[in-house]
Amino acid sequence: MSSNVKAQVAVSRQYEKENRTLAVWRRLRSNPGAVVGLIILAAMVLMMIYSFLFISYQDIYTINSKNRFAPPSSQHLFGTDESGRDLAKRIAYGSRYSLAVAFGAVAIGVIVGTFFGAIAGYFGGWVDNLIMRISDIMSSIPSTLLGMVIVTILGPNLLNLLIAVGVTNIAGFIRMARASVLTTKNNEYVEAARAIGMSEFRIIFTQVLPNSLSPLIVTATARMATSILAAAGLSFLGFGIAAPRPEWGALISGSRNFITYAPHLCTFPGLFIMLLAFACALLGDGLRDALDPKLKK
Amino acid sequence: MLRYCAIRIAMLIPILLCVSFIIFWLIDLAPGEITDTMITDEMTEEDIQALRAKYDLDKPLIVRYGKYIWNLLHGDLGRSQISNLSVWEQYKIRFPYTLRLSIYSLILGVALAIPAGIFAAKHAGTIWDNLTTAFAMLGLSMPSFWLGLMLLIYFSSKIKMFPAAYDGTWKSYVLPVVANGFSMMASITRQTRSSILDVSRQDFLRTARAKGVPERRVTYKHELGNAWIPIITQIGMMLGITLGGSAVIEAVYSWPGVGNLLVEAINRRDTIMACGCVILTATMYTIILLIVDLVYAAIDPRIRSAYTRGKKRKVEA
Repeated sequence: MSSNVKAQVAVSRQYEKENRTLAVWRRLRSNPGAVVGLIILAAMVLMMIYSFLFISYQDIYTINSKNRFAPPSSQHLFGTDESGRDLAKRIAYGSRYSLAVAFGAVAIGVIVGTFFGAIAGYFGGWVDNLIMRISDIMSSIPSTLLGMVIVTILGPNLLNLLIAVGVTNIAGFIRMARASVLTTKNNEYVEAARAIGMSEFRIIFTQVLPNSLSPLIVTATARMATSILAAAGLSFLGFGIAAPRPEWGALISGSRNFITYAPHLCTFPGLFIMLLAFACALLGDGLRDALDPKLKK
Repeated sequence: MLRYCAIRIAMLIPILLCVSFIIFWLIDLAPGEITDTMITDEMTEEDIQALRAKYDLDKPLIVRYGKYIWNLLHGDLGRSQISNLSVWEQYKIRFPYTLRLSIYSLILGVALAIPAGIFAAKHAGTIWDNLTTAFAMLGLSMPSFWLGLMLLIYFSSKIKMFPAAYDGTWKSYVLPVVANGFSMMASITRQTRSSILDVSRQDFLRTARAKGVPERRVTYKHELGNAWIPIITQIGMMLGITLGGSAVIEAVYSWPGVGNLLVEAINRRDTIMACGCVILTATMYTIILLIVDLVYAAIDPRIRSAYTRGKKRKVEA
């Protein structure tokens, strides 16, 4: 009998959950900005998959000195660079770095930041004080600088760039998770969970955090845009993915010496950085409206 | 009020201690030492040891850090380990360039963003609103160094209107200020739009309109007057970010500012110089945030009264 009731509750919960996700999806679909963002993002992911399947190592790194600085043409869509390499292929290949940073750096921020933020908000007292002071310290170091120093220590490669940008994301997520835990932790269902003897950590992660999910998703999407820009900036300064690899920021940095006679080398990688960041920002805005219909008039 | 300022500034001390230690420690961890470029083939092992001893590299990190902090407490930021110039003097020479660049960009950004934000909010939901918002979003997504380079291509190398690097004239400010100000404009526009929209649903606006207050006055006095706080926060944050993170735009225009100084110091493992720059920049950042808080009090009577009535009503951060 009791198992029957349990099963029923589980089914209705499942139904409710799907329903809510569907409603959010419907609202998201009716927002033209979010749709544009999703399409651009999907196109970028497709481009990355294409580059994994059809663009070889030779296409990206082989030097062809006969065909240097070719302007954009039907054969070389975005022209060629100072070593005669096809820029379109290099940009397509480079999409993996930017996408990895967009998702990876934000994931680091979300996982570490939410964990500590939730603990700080839930327990309060000295734990809260300690975590918040550390987060203050992290946010009082300018993020470009922190990124530069981290990459200098660990060495310029993708994983380290990810860590460098991810670390600068942490403080923001700590503050956010703490704030939303503070607003939800005094609800009756949390008290009920405690009354039936749930452990503190289980309460945080199964009762409190799921109710703070919407602001988290929105911030995470918005941070994807800033992470892409930060990573490109670090690579541009030489503290990121190093030169022969076609990371978009590094491509722009490499084009600086030739901007007078080969402006296409600078223009196209920048356009792609902008498009990707734009897509994430649009999606973030769309999600905010979709997850919280109260905000929209 | 004075007490509050003093507490805020005192809180800066532990933060700066930690920040400086982290920078010290991180640069120590980084591969390569300051002496790497000075070692020549003719040097014997003893010469190298002597050279390392000269920079205290033979002593443990904590000793070097202790020495640094001791000097710092005496108001001495130390000397660059490369050029032997005083960090404070160097910073003092470079900082005005960064400050000017930041302030001019901010002025440009605010001057364009506030009217644009009000315009978008007033036409909320229409095509004008969408266009303004999309434009602002595009500005947010544009890497400032790329915009800087594009401006260089068109206004400096194609039509030779503005110089490509700092040369002392007002003309050399134009391109970096536009490149830097554009992204500020974008974020302040968005903030202005959303805080005006938040306020626009309040009852006191309906009352004001019902009383027959002219629409212009409703917008500027009642609406903007109540929407300022988040906008000011955004402006303060932008100023902090551009002062601390101007390295990218400074690299594009070979600007003689703090950002370039810092990048160079890190690249050459000049710990003292890098640390000094970070400490000064972080101090600046905190002071700006403090000023922003004081500005709140100046423009918002509710917060002002919380300060003057003693500590009964604590201001929520």
